[in-house]
Amino acid sequence: MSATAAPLAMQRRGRRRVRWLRSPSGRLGLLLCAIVLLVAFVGPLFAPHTPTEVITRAYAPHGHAGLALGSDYLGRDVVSRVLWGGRSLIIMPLLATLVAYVIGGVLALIATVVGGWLGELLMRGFDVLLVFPGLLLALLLVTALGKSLTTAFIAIVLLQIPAVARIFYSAAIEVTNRGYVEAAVARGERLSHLLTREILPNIAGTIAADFGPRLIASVFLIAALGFLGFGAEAPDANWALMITENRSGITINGYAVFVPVAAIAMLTIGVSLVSDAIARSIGTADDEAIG
Amino acid sequence: MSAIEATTALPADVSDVRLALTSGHAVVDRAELTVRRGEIVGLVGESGSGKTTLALSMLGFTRRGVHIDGGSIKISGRELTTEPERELRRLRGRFVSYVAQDPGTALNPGMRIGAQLREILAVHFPDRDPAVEVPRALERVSLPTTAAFQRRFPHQLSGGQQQRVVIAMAVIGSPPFIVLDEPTTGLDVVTQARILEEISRLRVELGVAMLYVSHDLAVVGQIADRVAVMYAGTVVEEGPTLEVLARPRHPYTRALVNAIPDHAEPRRLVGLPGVALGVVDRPPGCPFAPRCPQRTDACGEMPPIEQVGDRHELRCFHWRTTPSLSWESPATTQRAEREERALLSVESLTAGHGNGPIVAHEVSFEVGRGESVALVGESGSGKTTIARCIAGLHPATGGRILLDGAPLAHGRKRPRDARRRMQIVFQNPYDSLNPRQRIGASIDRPAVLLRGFSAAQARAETERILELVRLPKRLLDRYPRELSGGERQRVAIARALVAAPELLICDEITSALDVSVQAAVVELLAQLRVELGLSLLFISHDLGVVAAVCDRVLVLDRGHVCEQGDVAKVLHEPEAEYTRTLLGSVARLPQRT
Repeated sequence: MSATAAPLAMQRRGRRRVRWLRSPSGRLGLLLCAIVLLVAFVGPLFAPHTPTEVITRAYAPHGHAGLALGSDYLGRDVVSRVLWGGRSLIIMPLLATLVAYVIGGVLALIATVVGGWLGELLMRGFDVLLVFPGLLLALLLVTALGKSLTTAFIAIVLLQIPAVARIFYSAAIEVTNRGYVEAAVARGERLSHLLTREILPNIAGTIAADFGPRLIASVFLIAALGFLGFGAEAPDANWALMITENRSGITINGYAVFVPVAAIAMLTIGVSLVSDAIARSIGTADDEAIG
Repeated sequence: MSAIEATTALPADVSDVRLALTSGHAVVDRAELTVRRGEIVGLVGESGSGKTTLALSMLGFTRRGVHIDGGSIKISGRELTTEPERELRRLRGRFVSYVAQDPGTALNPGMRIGAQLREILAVHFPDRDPAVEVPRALERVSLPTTAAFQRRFPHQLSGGQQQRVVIAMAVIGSPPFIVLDEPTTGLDVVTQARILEEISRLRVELGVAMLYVSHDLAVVGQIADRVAVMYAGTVVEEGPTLEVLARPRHPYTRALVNAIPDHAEPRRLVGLPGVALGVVDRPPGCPFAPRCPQRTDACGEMPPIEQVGDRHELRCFHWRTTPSLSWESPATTQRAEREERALLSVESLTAGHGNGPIVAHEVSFEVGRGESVALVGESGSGKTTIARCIAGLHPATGGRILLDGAPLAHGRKRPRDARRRMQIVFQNPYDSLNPRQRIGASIDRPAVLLRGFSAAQARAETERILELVRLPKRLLDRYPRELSGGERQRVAIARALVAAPELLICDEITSALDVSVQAAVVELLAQLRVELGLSLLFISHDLGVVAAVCDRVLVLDRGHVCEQGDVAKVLHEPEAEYTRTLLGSVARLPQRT
């Protein structure tokens, strides 16, 4: 069927990069992500009040004193705190995930290509780390190193490295047995050439598809740490912190809890819809290539 | 329908069938095919010809995205195109059954084989006694009938035994018609020969009609009474096997027969010009016209079916002018006088997989300058491992490999010049090119790395080599997925040649290709040997190709060299018992008279 696939592939080459956008779920995911990102990054410009300013009594209902979503447990404006509270919750997991990708990816690729006892040692070590429940390990680290945003950041990076390495390793192992990698080995290419030219471009799709779930896991971890009081510190505005701060007043002014919950949920659903759509489009592109 | 009618009706009768994609393009168009009682009809064609799609439609089945778009498919008188799925399911197993290509995936790995056979009885013949029927079905395919054997799982059987179980499942309901889809393709030649015997015997014993789908004309020539040749979705010629293969009337059939290698009568293989067109690019008239040497303006329309003999028909306006088959001897290369020192010497090479089994035992041989040496053996004979050791991709556990008298280390430790002088081309053209690199970049690289060329020099060299392997320059900016299998294999050869090697290691380089494409690649290798004075180490399981390409041959049996010598001598007067078995099992075209 190769002859069949060739002209089709040619026609579709130009459109390949944005193909995932053609699926309705991919578009919905992008919309959700865009809303949350807008609120988190542009929102602070439109905040009616300073997020830390006490305006009225605690848990004032919506509409009271001109506050659209009421006030929180200290009488601060919920709208302003929601608009200010997304940035740290998005930026930190994003950075932590990226750092984990660089470290975990490089280690896994080295393990793949060098192989032997070094590769085994690295990957088995990561397997041991994967056995521990993530939150437990994070709490252990935060307790040991003192509670601060930096510690939470380090905890996430350390937790994500083994998972990232697993994905890189299994994707790369499959590629290293391919003829083009063997041809490169046989002509004596350097390690750096093998990694950057022969292997990495061919696993990029798989890796990209996995980025979404990784990012969500990081957001959840930081939110969980925040909820337990180990991440962001009061009086900072932070969605995770808002949930824990205001949970006792959930029956009086539910907005103070439900709006940040909804924001985190929208981000999570949006990111997973987008990464699923990307993964699917990579799958079909590979099918075409195989023909 | 009464029982009498069912027995008098043809087991399979397909007329004017069109199978189309959801886009409306036809995968199979205007196909006609009948199979009579007790008859084996071979359905041959190259990849993309629609043979499997047509064969599956005779079970009332179409793959996702394909539907039956007209025509009639009658199995024992029942019209499948109008039956609902429920009724089709009842018919399959009773009136028609199916033997799939890969028994490894056709059998349920989690079910004992006895249970899989009983399942068919339970679904279709609940009144029959499994204690009688299951042993009888196993006996029919020469398998043990014991309870212990029935309790085995598929993974406890060899590939040949697995395929026998699948055939037993197909015959257990004694259907009048069986569709066999490349049933021996994954098996080695000796097992293939036994399965073919089994199928012929079953046909005689049970009087069952069969459709035997295959890309291998030689196998079909051995087993089939009649043969139907498909090209681009249409049956272009159908007739008695001996007549069609000895005196093909359709230009495509002729080209196909001309491309088949034969070890007993080595011949120059002639490839087909051009490439097979994809489903969406097929021309409106005769589908073969763009590649046909006999085409005229009349071919812009689909030729009607013409009778050219007793039950021999075809679709071609110009069949009367099709020349008879003519063989040429393979291009003989002037073998240089044996020099003192061989280009490559392998001395008592021993290699295994880790701590596992040893796959090559003390293998020794030499390849002289300009010489072409074949390593021949079945799967598991160690031939690929030996090639990989020589290429530096697999560590040897013992022995030496010498290039021009200098011993070679393993892999990366080899000096650059040694890596340049020896190049390897792999079996599978679909994974030997980096999918993310343009063809030009893939070919340039060895010139830069191994010959120290600048980017511009490398590109000039690449363009020169492309011409040598007969590929157009416009491919330089393409990606591998835009190329056909034959084109990709030429690119892989070009990538090896750009290093200016003295020895080319070819690891089963034609086994993933269609016969017409294989012929073109073999032709190319013969020309390259003459033009460049290349030495070849040619790894293959196909003795016919070896006879066309090589001067000397080594026969490997489970890691041991059991015989070596000149190709003509080994293939005509084999000394080792194993070589004789191997040669006796190879399917060949029926002899010309």
